[in-house]
Amino acid sequence: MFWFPASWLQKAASLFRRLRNRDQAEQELDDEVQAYFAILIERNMARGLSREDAARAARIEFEGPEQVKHKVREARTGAVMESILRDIGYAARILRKAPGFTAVAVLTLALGIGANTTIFSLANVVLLKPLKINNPQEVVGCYSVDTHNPGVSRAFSYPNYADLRDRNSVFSSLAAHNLTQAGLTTGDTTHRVFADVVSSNYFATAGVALFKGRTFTDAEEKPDAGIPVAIVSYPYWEKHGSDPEQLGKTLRINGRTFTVIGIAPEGFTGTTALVSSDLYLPLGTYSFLANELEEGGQSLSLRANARLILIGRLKPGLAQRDADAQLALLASQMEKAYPADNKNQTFVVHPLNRLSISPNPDTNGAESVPLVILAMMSLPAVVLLIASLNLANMMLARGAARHKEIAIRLAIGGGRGRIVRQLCTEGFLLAILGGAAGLLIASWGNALLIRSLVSVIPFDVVFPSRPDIRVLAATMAFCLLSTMVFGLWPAWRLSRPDVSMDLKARGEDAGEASRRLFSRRNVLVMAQISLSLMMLAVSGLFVRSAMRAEDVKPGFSIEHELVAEVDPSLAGYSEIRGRQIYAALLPRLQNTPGVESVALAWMVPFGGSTVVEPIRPAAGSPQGGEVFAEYNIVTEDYFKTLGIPLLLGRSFLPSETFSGSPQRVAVIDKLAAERLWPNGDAVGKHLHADAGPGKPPDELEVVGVVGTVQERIVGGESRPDIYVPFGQYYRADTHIHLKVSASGREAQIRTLETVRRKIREVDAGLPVLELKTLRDHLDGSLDLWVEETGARILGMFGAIALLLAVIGLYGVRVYTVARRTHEIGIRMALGASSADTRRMILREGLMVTAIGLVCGLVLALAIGRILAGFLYDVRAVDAAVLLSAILLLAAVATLACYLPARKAARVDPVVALRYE
Amino acid sequence: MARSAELLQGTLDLLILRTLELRSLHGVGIADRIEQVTHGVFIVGPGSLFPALHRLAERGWIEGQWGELENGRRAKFYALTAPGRAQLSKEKRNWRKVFTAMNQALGEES
Repeated sequence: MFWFPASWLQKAASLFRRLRNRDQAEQELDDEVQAYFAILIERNMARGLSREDAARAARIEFEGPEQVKHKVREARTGAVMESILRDIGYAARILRKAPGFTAVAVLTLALGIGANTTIFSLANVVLLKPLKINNPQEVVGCYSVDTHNPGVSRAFSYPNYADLRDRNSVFSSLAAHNLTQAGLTTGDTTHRVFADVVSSNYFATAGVALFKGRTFTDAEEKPDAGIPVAIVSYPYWEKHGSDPEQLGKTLRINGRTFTVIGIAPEGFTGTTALVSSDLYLPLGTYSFLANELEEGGQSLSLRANARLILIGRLKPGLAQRDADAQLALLASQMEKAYPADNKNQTFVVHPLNRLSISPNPDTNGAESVPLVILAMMSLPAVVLLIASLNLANMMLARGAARHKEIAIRLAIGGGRGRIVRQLCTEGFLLAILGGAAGLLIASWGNALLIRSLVSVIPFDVVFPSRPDIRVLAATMAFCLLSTMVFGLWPAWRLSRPDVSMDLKARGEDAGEASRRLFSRRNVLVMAQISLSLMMLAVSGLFVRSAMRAEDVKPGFSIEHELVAEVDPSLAGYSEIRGRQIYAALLPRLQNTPGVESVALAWMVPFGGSTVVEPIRPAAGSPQGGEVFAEYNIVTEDYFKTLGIPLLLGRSFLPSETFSGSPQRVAVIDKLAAERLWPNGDAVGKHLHADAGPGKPPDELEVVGVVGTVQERIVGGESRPDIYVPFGQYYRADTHIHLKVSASGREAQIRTLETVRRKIREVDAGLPVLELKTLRDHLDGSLDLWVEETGARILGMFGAIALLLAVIGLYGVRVYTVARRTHEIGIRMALGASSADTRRMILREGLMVTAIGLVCGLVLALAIGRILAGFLYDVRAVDAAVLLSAILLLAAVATLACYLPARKAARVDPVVALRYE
Repeated sequence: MARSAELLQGTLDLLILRTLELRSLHGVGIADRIEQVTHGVFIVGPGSLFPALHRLAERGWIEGQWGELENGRRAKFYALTAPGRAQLSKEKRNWRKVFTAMNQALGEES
């Protein structure tokens, strides 16, 4: 606890009292000064002066009541604060007197700041906000790196982990874990969830206490112990009704019954940001969970079975370099003790990656976090800049109207600094109001964003609904920055200690056309128009990219396709049982009316994950080098079912699938064929594909070449593909593709129900994880989500930018007409027609717009070059996008110029001249 | 404002506390009393008196209270508080120390 000395408390209390009863305190001070003055006069009279002389002497002695009062105020604690509060109070009164201006200004800023806070909140949670880990700077990853090839690292086996945990002098605690998928069955449906399989000290290493219940015991951690206990995540518990009696209840995980023994703490996301696993399970249950992605089945107790990822808490004060040195010593001892499994392995510590769980010491560019944030913030920053420029113009216009007030204040000796401060206070008050509204917009925007993200990713998203200190600070910074742009500069200009400026400004307005065209106000509007053209072009590119993405021609047919995902292992079924189920299921689906063709495949395009294997020509095939190819395991009808054209050779034979034929074969796509055998004679050639670490590569004969397909939209070009026959290889997690004759959504959905029934008939317990049309599968993919969300956000930014620029332009036109009413009156009195006047006013507005558009075009072309590298199927110069952006902006801007010009044309010279 | 001699920083506070030690006074009374006891060396104008009074009141050493003069005029009377009394004796001791030290220093030099 802090100890406040009594005098501080007293001061604070008196300050508080005064701030609360500021008027009362002022009144009392005034009374006191008055009384003093009166007594002074009386005393002087008592000394024998006449009343007049006494009063004069008193006045001389008094030096002026206002100065005295001022000195008293300055002497008081918090005098500075008080005067700021007085400024704020004054500013508030001024703003209250102009509700229209205030509303538009606050709305403008709210949009600008809201856009920035929304994006910053996202960046904050993903990249900045400390994880819910105690003293996170002490927690590091521990990695096993190949001494001969420092770029290659691998996971740890349990025995290696246990040795390292018990023998190191580096970590105060060392935990092991890995992320797996598990089937969680409720009723007769099974969902796939993410489960973190963890050592008993996992939560202790993170330094967090469970929300409820206990952590795992050493007995539960022991490999193959198989004690079925589980800790559920806080979001999981919340999603399932926040059951106060959760502990002791059971869950059905991969066909086994687990008992819930704990609930993880709120906000805990492990070592990664934003997403949380649903379940935590002890290492002892690993064999129940190991799925085929990792070729399960081997016991975790084997030193050769490297499956675990380590996180350690360094002893306090231990530097990473010292830790590495000690670990290297330990590694060489272990290499001597277990040369077969630990050859050439050394251990290092490295900061953890917030974005992935990986056996590689890769921080995914943690060093570049500031750059990433800067890149993310660059587009919303443009929106804020436009908003601020807009407001600067509004402030200038208002300032001109307030010239008299400012001139008087300067004339009576109000310092320029005071006036700048006052005007800035007004600006900052606006910014704060805008910032508060911006926070609301941001929390709404983030809620929308997260809700839509949750629908496409299989994780629980942990996103705090309330802004934290970083978000608040950033919002405050946005407020300050925008105040600088729209408050400080106009205030500086307006408070020029030049009382005659008012007259000069009139002269400037009536000056020659070119000078007028490039007046401050017009230049500000040009900047706004060019920036908003750039934003429009950017959002146009995003929208176009999203439209192209939705319209993607991925090299396989979409419209008459259904896809189901099943995984027998999630019900605890063995590989033998799984093969039986698939063997029974295929013919049954094949014979369903309305189904033209059926195939199985391990991986599905746009499924969010792919497996990439290096393939190379077998010895004796000199051409081409190694290629990295997308790897898939499919049945013979896969290409027919998905409409992928067979270009050369043949597809698999029924004898090659399911029967386990010794003849090893592969089908590759055109891209792979061209890269490996540029001469076009791929069929009949042999290639080598990796068969997993430590195993000799498989030699496969290429029997066919098929068309290239696209597996993703985000993240670059198509990669080569290699297909191997299902049956020779087996993966439990499988997608069933069906080509159906039914067209139209409803008919297809009816067929889906038939498919579900058929699957049930073969095995009622088989978990069906997905069952939808291929179109829906694509539309629900993360790739399209990224494209669409990007387009939506940028579309919003573009719309805001357009709106703000047009409001800015309109405001300035209206203002110009109002200022020039006198001049227009004279012109019309001298014989100018309404049409002349309208043309004159319109011309200037259109010139401003045109110059803004030209500058904007340059900006748009520049940013297009950058974006073309990121966006799907977008060229740097997209004439359609640029043209429509220009036309849209020009059309709206013309309207914004025309309305004030029409008003100008209606000026009645008599009224206008009398106006002065 | 001190016309005849520059008031040392803090001296005015001490003078005001000392003046109020015997009885409570209003502002003009305090100014007159200081002028009188210092034989016109210190003439305290309202420009220095008011801030000093408010500073002392804020620290809780003196307390202002509205009252009436014999002729019925309202005035704010300042009185010493208990902490003010303690502060006064502390500052008196302090002053004597400073005064003695200064005298010695000046005496040795001259």
